[in-house]
Amino acid sequence: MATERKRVSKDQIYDNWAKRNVHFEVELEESVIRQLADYGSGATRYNAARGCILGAGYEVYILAFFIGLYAGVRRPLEGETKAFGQPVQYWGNLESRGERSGYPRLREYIFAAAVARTDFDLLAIERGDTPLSKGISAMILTMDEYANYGLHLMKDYLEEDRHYFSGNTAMLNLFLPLFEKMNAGYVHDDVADGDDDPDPEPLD
Amino acid sequence: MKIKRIEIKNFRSYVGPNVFQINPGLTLIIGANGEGKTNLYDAMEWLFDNRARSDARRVVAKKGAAALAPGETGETSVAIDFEHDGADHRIEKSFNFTKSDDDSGIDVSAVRFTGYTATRFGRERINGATLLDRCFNASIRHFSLMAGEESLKVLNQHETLQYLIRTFSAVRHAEKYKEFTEYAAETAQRAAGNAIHKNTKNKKDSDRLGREIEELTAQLRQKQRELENQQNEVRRYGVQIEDVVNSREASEEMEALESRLKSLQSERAKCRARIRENYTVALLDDMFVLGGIMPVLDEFSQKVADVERRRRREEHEHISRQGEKKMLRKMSLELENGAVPLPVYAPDAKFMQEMLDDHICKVCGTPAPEGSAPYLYIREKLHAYLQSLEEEESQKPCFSNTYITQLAKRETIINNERENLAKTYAEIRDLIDYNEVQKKKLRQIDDNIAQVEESQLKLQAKLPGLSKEAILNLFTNLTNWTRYKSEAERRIVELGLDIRQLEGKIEEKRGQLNGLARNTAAGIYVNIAEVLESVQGAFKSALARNKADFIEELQRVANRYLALLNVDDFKGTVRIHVDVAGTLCIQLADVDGSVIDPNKALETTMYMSVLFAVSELTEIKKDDEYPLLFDAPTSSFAVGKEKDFFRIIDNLDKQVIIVTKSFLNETGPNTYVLDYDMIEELKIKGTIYRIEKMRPFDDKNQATVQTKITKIS
Repeated sequence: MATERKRVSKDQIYDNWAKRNVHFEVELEESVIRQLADYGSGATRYNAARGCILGAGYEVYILAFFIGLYAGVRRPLEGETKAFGQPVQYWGNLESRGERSGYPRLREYIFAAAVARTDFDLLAIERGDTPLSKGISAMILTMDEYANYGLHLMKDYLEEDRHYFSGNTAMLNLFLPLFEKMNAGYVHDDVADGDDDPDPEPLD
Repeated sequence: MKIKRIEIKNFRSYVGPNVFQINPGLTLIIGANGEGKTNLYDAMEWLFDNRARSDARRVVAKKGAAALAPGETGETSVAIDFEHDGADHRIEKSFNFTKSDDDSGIDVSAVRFTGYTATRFGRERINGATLLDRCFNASIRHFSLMAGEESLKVLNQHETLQYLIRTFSAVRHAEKYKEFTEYAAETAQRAAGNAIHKNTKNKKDSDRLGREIEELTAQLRQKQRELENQQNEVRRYGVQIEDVVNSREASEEMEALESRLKSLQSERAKCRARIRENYTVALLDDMFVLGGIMPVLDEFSQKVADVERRRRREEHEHISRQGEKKMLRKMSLELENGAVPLPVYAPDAKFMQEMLDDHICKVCGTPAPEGSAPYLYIREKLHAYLQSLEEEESQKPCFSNTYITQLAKRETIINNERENLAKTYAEIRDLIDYNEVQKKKLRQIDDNIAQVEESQLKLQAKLPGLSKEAILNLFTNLTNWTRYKSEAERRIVELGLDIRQLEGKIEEKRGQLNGLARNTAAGIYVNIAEVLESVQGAFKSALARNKADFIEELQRVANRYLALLNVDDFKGTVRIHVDVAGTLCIQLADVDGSVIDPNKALETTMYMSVLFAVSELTEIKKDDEYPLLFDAPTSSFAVGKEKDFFRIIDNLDKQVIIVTKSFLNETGPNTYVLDYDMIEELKIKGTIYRIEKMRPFDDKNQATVQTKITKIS
């Protein structure tokens, strides 16, 4: 029995998810990811040498994922796809990030969001009728499709102006209306008396 | 030197030939700002500067050049006709300018500087610079051209006063005699020393005294050299301090501005550091991206709660099913009297099968023929036992994994963080608002910095040639220079005492040495040397007396003019003071002897008084007469004082040329008319010219500006 318990405790759903890589359409690598991140240069540290606003390529993916998540739009990946070199478990770790701060806790919320928005039979997995890997794949697909929507949105802006996101406020301006939409009518017990601000205005 | 005529041709605003007839007394040239006063002064300065050769292009009359056809040549010249030592002379500085063929500019020729002297054989042409230096010495020129009141301060320079004393006192006539008596006394002393030395009778003593005198003399020379150096130092620091003192106000202001600038820059740096506008990075690093996560987390919680509940239900049902089976089995083995039956595995299957085969219960010995109640009981028990073994083998848990439990635990942890997460969006808004406030503040600071920097530039413009750092250093320098000057002055006093002591000792030793020569052949040499020393002493004291007399006379006359220029006004007394460093300086003293710090007009009248006194003394001595040319000397004067000034000048038997904007009444913007009433009231005897711009002119095109000269009287 002791051996059995040990095997089960090691078999964590989160760890299985975190070991996975996420995917993006190959055509977005040059048009979006390399425009915004120091992706593919071989360096893991934040590098502004090319005027990139972000470090690793997955950072663009994370932002794109949240855009899709909040917009509530999944866009299936088309054509050739590619995985990032770093599995989810390394996202936002502090090491070798220069003046940046680590954000490992963000992974927990991405996980929670992926679970919330993935349509899978958890009981079947729990019973062992469906393998866990199938469920994890479904979660990754959810993430990829949300991110794909966000990446295409970024692509549209970059096609208009390749320096669109070089300003401090451009990326945040994509999020502000989404935040507003998500928080509309949302009243949390602890913040019910909080923000009385009118609709957010995009920052100049 | 007396100027009779000034000719200016194609010099800046003086287009074509222009002539001023110059009165032996006062010549007034009246014009408003920008009408040619300074150009006239500059023309004279250009003529009197025998070094300037390279600024020809700068002084060409643009209107004169514009009037030329391409390839045509014009001439710029400034000349004066003057009388000196009873003869007529002329000096003329000129050059040609030629308009380029493509009309793109002008070329200028080398500057010619020519002098003409009338001799009994006619007019002789000589070098202009030579003639100028001969008739109008460079040192005199130094303080005969005064542009503005500030330039009068040249009089307070040690060298200027020394020059005045040397030139206009009798000192210069006695200088050569003083030098001769020094030479004669020194030679006689050496001869006496040699004669004493040759006398074998007192050789030992005379050698000793000679050596001692030599050593003392060497010490004396060294002290004298040091004294001279220290005096020079005191003068040098004095001049530097004076310069700084003049700029004290500007320096103070610059220091205050600099301090404000540093504080603003520091504030700006802090403000910039406070602005956190890298929102893209903050979306990740500060997890601002979670600003909309709350509803999603609700979905997560709901989903986990639902599935967890379903899991529990399913598990419960599973357990229930297992329980029912066990109950049925238990009921079939119940004993009649209600006693607790043996476990299902006792006796074991092998013994029960043996009892069935032998038709007897081998536990209690009761026969159990086939079909009997004991037989059936044993058979049922065996069956229950075998079934329990089967069930044990086939029974599995309902769920083989714990993922849902893991999710439930995660949900609990996340739930604990909800309070903080819910504030994320508000934090983002707060940060944006905060940054906007800081940026507004930063813009305000930048505006303030720009204002301070502009004020600094304006202040710098008031002190041309000095960088901001130099102005800021002025006070540090003033402190240092004041200390160095005080140290040098203290040393001068010490050196004076040392020198007097050494001179006393040398005199004493020389007396002893001369005593050895009494009643010997060397006696006559000693007597001659003593006589010549007395003569040298007499000249020395006569010169000092003469110098003191001249200074006293200068003071007396200057105070007379000071009184005239400050009627019914406080004026103090002009004092020409010799300080510890031997530096001469002009001061105003109060009745108790304390030095007065005069206002600008009083200071100007002080210098004017000295200038007039010098002029008067020059006239008395009929020596080195020279004209005075003033550009705007009365800017700080009140009207009454100005009238006194012109009245005195007009009555002075001295050639004075004044360019001024006095005697003008403003009738409209940049429109002036001569104040004939004031001219009438003052009854000016001298010549008066009015200079003004010819109208119309283009206010943006210098090539349309020309000065027109009108002789008024």
